[in-house]
Amino acid sequence: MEHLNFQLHSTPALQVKKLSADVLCGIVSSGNLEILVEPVSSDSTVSAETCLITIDTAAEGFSETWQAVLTQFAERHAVGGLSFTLNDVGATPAVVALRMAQAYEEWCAAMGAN
Amino acid sequence: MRVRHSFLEASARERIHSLLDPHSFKEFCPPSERLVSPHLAQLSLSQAFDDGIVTGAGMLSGQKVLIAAQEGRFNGGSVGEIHGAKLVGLLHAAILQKPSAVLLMIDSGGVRLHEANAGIIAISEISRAILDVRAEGIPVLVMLGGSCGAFGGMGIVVRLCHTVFMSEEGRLSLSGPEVIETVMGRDEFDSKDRALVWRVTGGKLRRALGEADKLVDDDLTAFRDAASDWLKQHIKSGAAPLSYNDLCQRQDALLARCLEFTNTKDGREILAKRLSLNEPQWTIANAEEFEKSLKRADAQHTNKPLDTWKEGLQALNEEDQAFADRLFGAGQHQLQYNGYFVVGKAQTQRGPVHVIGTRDRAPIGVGVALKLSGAVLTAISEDQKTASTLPIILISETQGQLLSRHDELLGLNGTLAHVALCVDLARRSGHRLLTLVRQEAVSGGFLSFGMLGDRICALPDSQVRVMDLRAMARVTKIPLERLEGLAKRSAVFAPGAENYVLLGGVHEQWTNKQDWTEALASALDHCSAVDERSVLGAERGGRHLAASTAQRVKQQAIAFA
Repeated sequence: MEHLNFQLHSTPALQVKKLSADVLCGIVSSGNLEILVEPVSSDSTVSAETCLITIDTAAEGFSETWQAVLTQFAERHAVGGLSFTLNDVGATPAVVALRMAQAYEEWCAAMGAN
Repeated sequence: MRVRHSFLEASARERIHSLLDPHSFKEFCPPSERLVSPHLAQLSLSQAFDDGIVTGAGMLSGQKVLIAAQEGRFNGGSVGEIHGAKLVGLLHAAILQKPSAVLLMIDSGGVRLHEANAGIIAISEISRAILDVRAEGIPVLVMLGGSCGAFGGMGIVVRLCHTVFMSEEGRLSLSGPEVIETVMGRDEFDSKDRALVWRVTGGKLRRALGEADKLVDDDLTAFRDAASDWLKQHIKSGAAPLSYNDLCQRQDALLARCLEFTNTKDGREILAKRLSLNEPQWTIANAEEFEKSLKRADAQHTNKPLDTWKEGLQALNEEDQAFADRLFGAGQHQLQYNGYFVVGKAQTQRGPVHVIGTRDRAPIGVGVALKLSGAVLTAISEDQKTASTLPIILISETQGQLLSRHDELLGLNGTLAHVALCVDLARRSGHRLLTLVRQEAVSGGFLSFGMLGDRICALPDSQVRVMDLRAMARVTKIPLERLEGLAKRSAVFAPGAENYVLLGGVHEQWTNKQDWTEALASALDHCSAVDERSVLGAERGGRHLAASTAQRVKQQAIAFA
C-alpha cells in the first residue's frame, strides 16, 4: 500500500451551507476505487483555493501519474476548499479521472447546486 | 415496456435507496466516520470507509424499518470485526425500537478470512441477535440477488430469518463450490461449471426446495414491490416467534426431504419433481411464471416419530468412556453413540444434565445435523413432561461442515440453521446451555451448534478455527506460505482455542490438571443467557472494536428515532 497526499490549486467550490455534507462514490474493488468528498474542516488553515486529496492505493510507484491526473482534475473543476479521500485498488488513470468527475458531480447534486 | 434496473448490478447503497421511500433513508456510521478494518491495513490490503456494509433506518410504504445492505464487490461482502459489529448494533437497536421490520440485503461469501476468528465470532453474534429480534415478534426479511449470494456463515444466518426473497441470479448455500473443489476434488464439484453451480445453489433451485419463500425478478422495482407487499401482510398478521410445534414440523419436513432425494447431486431432479414446467422452460420462465408452476412441497411428511435419532445407538467405546468418566465421574453417565453422534444423560455436581453432541472430529452433514436438532427437541419435550428444564451440555467436536455437493444441494445451510433454531428454543425454554469444545471445532459445524452455548469452554489441547489454510489461500488469493506465516502471529487470524479466548469467542479453557467435574459445575454456575462475547473480547484485549462499534450504531439509531 502507498499513501499519497496532494494539495492542488483550484477555483473555490460553491459555498457549502450544510456543514455535514459528504458524498461517497465508487466501490473499493479490483481496478476500481471509492472517493469520499467532504468540505475541508473549518478549523483547517488551508485556503479556499486549495483542494486536498489523500490516496491509499494498492498500486505502488505511480505518484507522478496521480499528480498529472489530479492536477488536470483540479484545473477543470471548482474544487477549492474540498477534500477528496480515495481508497484505490489499481484503477487506471482513465477510470480515476472519470470517477473524480463523477464524485464532483454527485457532490454538486447533493448540495443542490446544479 | 418498463425499463428494468438490475438488482444484481446495483451497489448496496443503490439497492437501499431504490427500496425505501424517497429521501427517507438515514445511514448509521456512514463513510465519513471512517470505521475501517484495522486488520486489512495490517495485511496491506485496501479498506473501505463503510467496511462493506451500509446500515440505517428508513420508511418502506410509510412504515418504519431498519435496514442493512452488504456490498458484495468489496472483499466479497465478507464479514469482519467492524462489518459484523455494525449489523449486530442495528439488530440490537431493532430490539429496543421495535420497527415494523428489519430488512437485510445479504451479499456475502461469509467470514472475511483475513480476520477469520473475529469474523466467525461476529457471525455468531449476528445469529444470536437475529434470534433475539425474532423472539420479539419483529419480522426479518432477507433479499438475496447480489453477485456473492450468501455463503458460509451468512448462508446459515439467512435461514435464521423470517422470510427469504431471491432472484434467479442469487445463490444460497454453505461451502462455496471453490472450497469443495479445492478440498474434495473437481469430480465432487466443478466450480467452473456455472450452470451446475446454479442448479445446486441458485435462486430457482432454492425456491423449488422451499429454502426461499419467493422468487423475484432481477429488478430493483420488483424487489421493492415484493418487500412492500410482504410488509403490509405482516403488519396485519404479525410475526410470532417459532414454537416447539413449528420446529417439530420443520424437523419432519427436512427428514422427508432427505428421504425423497437420497442420492441426488444435481438440482435437475428436484426441479423436475417440484415444477409443472418442463426442462427447457426452467431457464426462461420469469419469476411470476415460475411461482405459478411450483407444486406445494412443504406438505411432505415422514410419518415417523420425533426420536428417530435414537436408532442405532450403542455403548461408548473405551476412549469416549474414559472421557465421559473424567467429565462426570465413573458410573455417573449413560451416554451412547452412533457414528459421529453422541447423546445421553449424566449427573453433575449441580444435578442431572442432557448431553448432546458430536465425536470423532465429525464432518457435519445434513444427517448428523438432523440428529442433533432431533435430540434437542426431544430433550425440550421430555423436560416439559416432568416440569423441569435440565441444562444441556453441547459437546462440539467437528472438523466443520461436510464438504459434499449432495448436502449443499439439500440446503446444508438451512439444516444447520434449523439446528441453531432448536438450540435457541431450548435456551428460551429455560435450559442452560454449556458448550464443551473437544479435539477441534471448525466453522459451520461449530457456528450452528456449539457457538450458541451460554458459556463455551475449550478442553485442553482442543483446536478452534475457521477453515483449512489451503482453501483459505485459494479464496483470498494470498499465497499459502504467507498465510502460514501470518497464522503464527495474529490472534485475529490464527487457529487456536487460546486466540478465541482472547477474542471472547470462548469463555474459558480448561487444563489437564483441573478436576473436570468441578470445572463443569463452576461453568454451569456461570451460564448466562445474554450474549456478552464482544464485551469479553474488549476486556481481554483481543477484539477492541466489536463492542464499541455495535454500541455506536445502536446509539445513532436511538438518536435518530
